[in-house]
Amino acid sequence: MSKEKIVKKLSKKGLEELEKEMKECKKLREEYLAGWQRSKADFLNYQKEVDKRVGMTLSLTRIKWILKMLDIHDNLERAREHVPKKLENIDWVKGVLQIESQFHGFFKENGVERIDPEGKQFDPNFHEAIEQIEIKGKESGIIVEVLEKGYMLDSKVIRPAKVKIVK
Amino acid sequence: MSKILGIDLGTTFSAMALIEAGEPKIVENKEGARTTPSIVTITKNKERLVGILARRQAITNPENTIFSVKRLIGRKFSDAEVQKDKKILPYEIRKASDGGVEVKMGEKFYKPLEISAMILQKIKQDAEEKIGEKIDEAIITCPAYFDDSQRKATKVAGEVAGFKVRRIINEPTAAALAYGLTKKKDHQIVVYDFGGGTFDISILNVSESTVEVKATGGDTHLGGDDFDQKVMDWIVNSFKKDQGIDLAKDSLALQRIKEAAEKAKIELSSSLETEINLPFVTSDAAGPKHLLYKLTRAQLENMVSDYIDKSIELMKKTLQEINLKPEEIEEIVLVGGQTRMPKIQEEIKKVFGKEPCKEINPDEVVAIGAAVQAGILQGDVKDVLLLDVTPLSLGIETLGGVNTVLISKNTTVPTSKTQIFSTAADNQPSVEIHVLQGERSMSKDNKSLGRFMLDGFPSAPRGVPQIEVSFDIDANGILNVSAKDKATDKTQSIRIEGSCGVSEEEIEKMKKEAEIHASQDKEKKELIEAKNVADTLVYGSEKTLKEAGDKVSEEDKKNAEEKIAELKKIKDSEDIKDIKAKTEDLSQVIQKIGAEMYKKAQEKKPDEKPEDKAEEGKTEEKPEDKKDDEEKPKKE
Repeated sequence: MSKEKIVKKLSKKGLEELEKEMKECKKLREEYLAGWQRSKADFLNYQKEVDKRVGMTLSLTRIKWILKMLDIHDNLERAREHVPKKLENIDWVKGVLQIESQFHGFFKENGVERIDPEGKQFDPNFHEAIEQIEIKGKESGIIVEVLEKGYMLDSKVIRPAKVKIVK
Repeated sequence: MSKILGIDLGTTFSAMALIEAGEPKIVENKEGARTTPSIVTITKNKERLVGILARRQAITNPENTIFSVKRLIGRKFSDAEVQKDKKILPYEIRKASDGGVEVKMGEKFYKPLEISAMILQKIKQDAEEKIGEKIDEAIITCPAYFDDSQRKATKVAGEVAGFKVRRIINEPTAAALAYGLTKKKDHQIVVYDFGGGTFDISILNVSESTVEVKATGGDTHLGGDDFDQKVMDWIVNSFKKDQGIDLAKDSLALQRIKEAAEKAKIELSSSLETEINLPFVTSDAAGPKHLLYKLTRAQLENMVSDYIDKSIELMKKTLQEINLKPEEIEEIVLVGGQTRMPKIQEEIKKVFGKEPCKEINPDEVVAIGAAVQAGILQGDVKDVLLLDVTPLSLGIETLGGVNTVLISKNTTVPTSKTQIFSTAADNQPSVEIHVLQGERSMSKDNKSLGRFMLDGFPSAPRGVPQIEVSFDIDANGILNVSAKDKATDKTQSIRIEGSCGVSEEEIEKMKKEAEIHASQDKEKKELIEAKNVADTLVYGSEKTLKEAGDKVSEEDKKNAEEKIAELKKIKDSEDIKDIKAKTEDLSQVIQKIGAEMYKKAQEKKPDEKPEDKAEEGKTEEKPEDKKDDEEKPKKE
């Protein structure tokens, strides 16, 4: 059947119905296209977000590991502080203490910086107060003792220094 | 449209979540943490701090550091609760002119809702900074037992912080929302919320359009912190007994013990025993003292059994209040970090005879639920766009009856995957594609979905033909598998309708079986893989020797032939170690011969590059298996 014949055969009502259907189809098409574009964009954005998150997860994992090692390192440091005087010059002891400086090297290589604020003013951005004591003649808020050193990684505090301050 | 932030404004910690790409996600605060301490302070320098910074200075400034303000929000000063808390909290609390409560911070008195507003303001700023856009609207959660005045105060706190508060929703409802439990009809849900400082029980009834709180119970002064304290006391007492030193008087030691106690408690949720190891914890005249104790899960459970029993009793009492029997409860939802403790989960299971929902991080589930509610209001969660996932893995059978997965379970459909396979024997004219569904390693243990042949390959040595196998699942779950020989472009395919149409029970059964058999299957698969490697090496070695002819010394040749014979003899045995060892032996000999030949070839024609044979087949899977053994002359 030729095109003209088809058109002739269609009643006016039929045409209207077809037009209506066409309109609906177009509308649906727009809707689906928009939905498709949106979902594709969502996906691309999500991918970017995932990339970011992977980076963040890696950096968090790194921080977690470093913090765990810092705990061990702290204990080694405590051991050094407690070496009995008469043993200080024994080679074996020196060797053990050399392990501590190995740790220092490792942390330095990994961008870990120490927070050792003795004598400075207390600042909660870097310090956590554990105890305060009264000392006459000393300014309030001054750190008199660092109970545990703090650490920063890439200029971000990963562990605040635990301190004793003047009341 | 701007996003709506879901906020869990907690007594000790707060958390926030947003809908991203249709899924709720926790938003970290500026300090990079997933939760923010609900603490506010004004320092001596008149600086206002919120969250972790406020906590760090708490001890220096206890009278101006406000925590647990949620216990006071929207209450009357005369409330028994307020009077009780007034005795515990270190900051000043007084009666406001309207009969409400006011707390002192710095030189000023504030309403509790103003303090909450400061926490919400930090949360808002951090979230905006994090996602890089402005957030104007929020959904904030509150305990189910909050009355109108407490809810109103929470809402106003949100408004003071700069939010348009779209809804205040109940914490247990949010938890149920996070698990998608509110879509079910006529469901009874128990929410067991064991937080840091409070214990809440809520019983919800989900009907077609509403979630109704049927009953609430609990203890506002029972929490995970009490568990930590028990462990700390145990450590301090044990040390006192053993060493005669009271560590409770040593602030640094106590700090270290506090951290170690919490760590031990957390570890005992996943292991049966932990070590509390604090060298140089203190020292006396005799020198340094060390602390080293083992703590078992059973010991911990014993220490805190009173608390657990109490929580279970309170839960049962709440059920009784509305005449519900445990059997009538369809779901139990766990909220709060302390619910990670296996003993608690066990006790709950004992009461209800079923597993509670615990897959979502219990510290975050309320904020996640608030974000889900936000998503519904935003219209992000559209039913039409919900996509199905494949409940089980789909793959094909390959050499040795191994199930090679192409599309793994839980992949969102529509999706497709293509992989290249090859033949197992020289001059193999056809392959059979056997489509499988399931998680087991061996094809016979999985469900067969269908099979078809692809034939008419021109003669070629094994491993040379490239057969491209494609899996395609459309949005309706209809699976199309096609195989194409890349040399001839010949294609065959099969259409499998309703590949996801395995019944729920069948899926569960198959998954369970897979779990049980995982290690066994792995061994079997490893053995087959070792056999395949041995087989390929024998074939390759024989070919190398034949091609090399007299270019190899007699001695090397004899050695290689011996090794080939040895490997041939045992390669069909079940001894994986022996097969691997003999394979390695032969491989070394052949590599040596190969290197010799390569060197000779180089000497002969220094300008020509040797053919790069190794690259071939490197990216290919093991040759395609043929069920019919006559098609595999190598395996005679």
